[in-house]
Amino acid sequence: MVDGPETWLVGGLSGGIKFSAKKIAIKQRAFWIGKGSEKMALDAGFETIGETRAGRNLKDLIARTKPSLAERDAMWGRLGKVYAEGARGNIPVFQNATEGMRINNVFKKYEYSALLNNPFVTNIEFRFNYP
Amino acid sequence: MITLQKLKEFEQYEGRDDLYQLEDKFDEGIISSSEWTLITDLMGEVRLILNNLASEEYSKRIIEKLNRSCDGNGVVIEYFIKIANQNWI
Repeated sequence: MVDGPETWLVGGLSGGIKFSAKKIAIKQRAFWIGKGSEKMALDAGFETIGETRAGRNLKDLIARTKPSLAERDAMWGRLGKVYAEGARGNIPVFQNATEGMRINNVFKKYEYSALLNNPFVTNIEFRFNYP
Repeated sequence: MITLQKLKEFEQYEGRDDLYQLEDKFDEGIISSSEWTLITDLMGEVRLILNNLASEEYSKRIIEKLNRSCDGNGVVIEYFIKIANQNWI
């Protein structure tokens, strides 16, 4: 059961030089399906792909270059797959339960299989919301 | 209210609400979240009629809903039906 985002402590020793430990809040990754679900994940304190630097860069790139729908699907798919491959621990997936989901969404096509094949993912927890 | 501009936007995304969301369009774009739901629901209902799977009473109700929801212009309804016939719906 995932109660909320986790925070990790980053820091340590390198080359005999002591660095002061720097506490960096790294939000736990979450995934979402269907409109309204991303907001739920963000409101619960998780990180979503669209909020990462890579996600924001991709949004800018798409806005500037206006690729086709198929290209945009592939772009988000590649990024989503990498994002899922880097996930750790219990992974929440927020889903809009009132409207269901389209069969060909980015999560189903790219991210879900990457999560299933990721040995560091210990659990995939579907969280249904009823907006 | 469903307009021609909104239908063209919906068509451009082939109904992919995930891509529309990923690109922040529900916040900045032409179609709001509730309008997207309305279009998607109506598309499904109109497809039932187009495929002769709906009763006469149901069809009448949906056509009334379509008339109420679309901008008072036959072109919009015509375009709506054209999209409802697409395979990606």
